[in-house]
Amino acid sequence: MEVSFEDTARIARLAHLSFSDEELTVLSGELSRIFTWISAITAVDTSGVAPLTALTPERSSVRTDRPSPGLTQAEALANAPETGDGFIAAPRVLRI
Amino acid sequence: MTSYSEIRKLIEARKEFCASLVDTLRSDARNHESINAFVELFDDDFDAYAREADRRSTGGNARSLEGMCIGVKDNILVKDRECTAASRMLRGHRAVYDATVVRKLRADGALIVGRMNMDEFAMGSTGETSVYGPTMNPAANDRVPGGSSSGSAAAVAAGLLHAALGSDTGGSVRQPAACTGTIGLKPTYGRVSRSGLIAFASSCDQIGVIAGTTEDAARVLGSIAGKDGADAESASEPVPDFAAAVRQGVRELRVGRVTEGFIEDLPPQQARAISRSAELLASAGARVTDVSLPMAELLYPVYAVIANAEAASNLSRYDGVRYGRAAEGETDFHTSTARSRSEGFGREVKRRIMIGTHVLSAGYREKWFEQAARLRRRIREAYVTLLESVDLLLLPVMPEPPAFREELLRDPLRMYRSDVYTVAANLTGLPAISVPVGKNEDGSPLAVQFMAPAFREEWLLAASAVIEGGTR
Repeated sequence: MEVSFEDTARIARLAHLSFSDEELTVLSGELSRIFTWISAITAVDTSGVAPLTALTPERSSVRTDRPSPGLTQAEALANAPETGDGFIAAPRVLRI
Repeated sequence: MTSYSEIRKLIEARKEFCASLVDTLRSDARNHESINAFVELFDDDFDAYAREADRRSTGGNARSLEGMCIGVKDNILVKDRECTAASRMLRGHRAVYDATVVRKLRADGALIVGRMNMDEFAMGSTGETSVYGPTMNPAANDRVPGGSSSGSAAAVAAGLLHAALGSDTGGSVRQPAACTGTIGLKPTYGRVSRSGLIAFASSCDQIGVIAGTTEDAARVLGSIAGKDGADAESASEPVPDFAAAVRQGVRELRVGRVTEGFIEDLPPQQARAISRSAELLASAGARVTDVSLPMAELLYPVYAVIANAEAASNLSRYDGVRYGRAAEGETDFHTSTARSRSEGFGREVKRRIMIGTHVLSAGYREKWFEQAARLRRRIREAYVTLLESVDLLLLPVMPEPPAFREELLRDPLRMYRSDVYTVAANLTGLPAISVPVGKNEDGSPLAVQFMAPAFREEWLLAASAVIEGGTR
């Protein structure tokens, strides 16, 4: 099951990862081998079987809405690479 | 280091024990630095801890884990300490709260000794993908210690700790235990809170225990188990007396020895380990029958799709903004994020993010992710049904003996293959344990795995104790 160079570049863009062309070539080969192995799953008939996405039988539990101490502002900001005026600073998302 | 059962005797006799214990801890850790099991020793805590533990011991009010020395994998938060998942991405990241498991262990009197080396973001089966360098295997010098909880297992195997916490998403507690001759317990999904564990694949992740003896593993599990409001998936199932389970034996337990359905023939020594374990259990009163491993060929492929999809999703939070590495000098969000991630993540982590992103992307989601999730339901039903006809499954931990160092780094497919027998417990949420059963002919550790029905860790511990008694 081939994952082409172009496919690999598309996946990298979606994943917000950047690679050199050589790295993409190596990855394309590795992904092709991996997907060939796991393609065994595509041959099985699963019609009528619902996907299983959660393992716990319990319904999502809702805890009591009681105030309790959370992170202080200093703690919330402590690991941010860049802060300003008590906020976390992010690079510009849109250019207008 | 004094064994924990000896420490309990000193506590019962109301003796002081802890000052000399922490001295030994310090010097042992220094003398074994070449194993690279610890990435940080919290030794500035030791002396205050020892004074308190000795005061409690002599005063007759020692707690259930007083004097137990426990390490935590570097993906479990300890407040005010660095926690990095052994990744460049999180170098310098300091925890602002304690993981629930850390809080519980401390409340029961344990000493949190330090943070343990691991494969980056818990992705790896060899302990070699860490930003801190590879962990060595004290039980077999030329072999990998297994992963991803490599430092946890190596330190316990070297006698530097009584026990250590690891995390098990596809075998990351059981495989390093098998490679180092220690006990590795992956509890039922929901048995132990994951609040404060850095997420890998949320529907598979479970914190587990690596220990030198079954009794120590039981003590630690008893402390960390139970419902926690901070992990919505944690279960309200009552927590039994696991330490008592260690002594309850296996009389009348029905054990299904897996003899067929393997993805390929087992190496003869692995097959002998299974037979030897079955004999020990039978002579202790268990009823052993032969069973076939259900859907063996599909286990890893289904796991690869689901775990990597969840990993790609979980690891999308590392954008270099709220925490983690940020690329310098970038002013555009998308360029900055891509550079931060590309510089911060190692090769194996990137490879898995790529697999996961692909199976979730438009046009591929139905073919891969949805199909894997459907098969996961079939797999779960097959194992739950099988574990109604037997109480325990006896199977291998890994298809091969521990690999030589660096051997698997060059061959990712072979590394993934080492997960084929451990991922069933993660896909189904069932508990499993890796138990040492002597050595391979080449001297490397040999182990077997047991799986049990949900919330029947007692049976795993009982079986482990019988094997331990018979192979000591």
